[in-house]
Amino acid sequence: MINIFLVRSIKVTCVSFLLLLSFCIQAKRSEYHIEIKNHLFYPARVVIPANEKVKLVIHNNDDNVEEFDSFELNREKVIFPNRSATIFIGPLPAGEYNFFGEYNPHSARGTIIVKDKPQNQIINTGEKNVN
Amino acid sequence: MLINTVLLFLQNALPVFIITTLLLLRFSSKTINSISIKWIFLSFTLAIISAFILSNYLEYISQTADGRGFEMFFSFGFLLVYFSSIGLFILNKSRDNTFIKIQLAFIMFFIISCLNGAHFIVYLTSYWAKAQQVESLLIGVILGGGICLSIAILFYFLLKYTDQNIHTSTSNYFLLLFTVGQLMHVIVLLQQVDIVPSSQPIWDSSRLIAENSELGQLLTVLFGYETTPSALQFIIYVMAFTFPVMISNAKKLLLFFRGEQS
Repeated sequence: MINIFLVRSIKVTCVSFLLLLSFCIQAKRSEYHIEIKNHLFYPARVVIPANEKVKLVIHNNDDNVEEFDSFELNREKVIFPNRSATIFIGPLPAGEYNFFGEYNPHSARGTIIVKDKPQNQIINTGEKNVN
Repeated sequence: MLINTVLLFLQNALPVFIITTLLLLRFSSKTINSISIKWIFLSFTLAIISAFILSNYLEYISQTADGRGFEMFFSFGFLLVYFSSIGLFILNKSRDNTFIKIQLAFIMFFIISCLNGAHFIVYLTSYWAKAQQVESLLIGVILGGGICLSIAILFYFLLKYTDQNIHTSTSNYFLLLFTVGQLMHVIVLLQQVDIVPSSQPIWDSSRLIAENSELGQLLTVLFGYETTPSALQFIIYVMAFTFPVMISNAKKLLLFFRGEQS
């Protein structure tokens, strides 16, 4: 009896998960690019519009794996060497949100600046923000 | 490198130590004395081998499904952990179905160990190549392991005490809360790749307990603590905890609504 219940539960879980994925409709999002070179983020400061979900594409040009991490943005993504990874952030209220490379937290640091008026991205280079 | 390795090890290994503690507590009672040292050793070995294999394929997995493979794979794993814990929670009072309980416990332990282990191995193998960092990595792993073991032993005796003196099911509720915390990873991972909609946070408790503080990180591992949760996260957290509790106490609730005493 319990076995049947368990098998049914697992089936329902799998079907629900697949349904959730199939219902996912991708809307067009503004795209922002960040590069990782020598354990630094370029640009280290990215400006995005407030109350809007945006797509962040991170390219890892290093030979080591890196992890994009941010407690404030609630994001964590492993980026393999010479690969790109995509994450979505927002909608966020205006403010500054720090991020860092979890495997090189002293050098790889940056900030997402969320502003009410939509502006276009780069306002600084990664090098100037190095500790 | 040393401190970073300790922190990363704690982040990835602590959930494995906590789930091991909770499952050992769950199966160490006299009524269900069914887990032997041989089984524990076999489970550990299998989890470590699987974590190594998975770490080799993580790069490939992360590139699948339009770059969403990593999140989907981990989400499915954490969902299985949560549903296994519901099964274990509901079957808690029954003295039968021991084999099913062991299977559910094994699924939980295996998935948590494998996913967290693979994540840490990716970091370890990537930085192992730099000869000057091998010593730091080794010392970091040993220190991290010592801290995890200390926390696990502390929790084991604390929960054993509360089970015996405060409420018999404390560790069972703790296990459910721990897996609800794991379920929160699913929401965050799926929001991260735009599969689940994300909204603005409903509160910000970072001034009370910052997520990057020691206490914040411990609470994140134990209960899925989040300083800026979205409405969806909050609703799912509450429902994911109350739903199994209600099913488990269905008889008592029915009697209560009928105005009878159990």
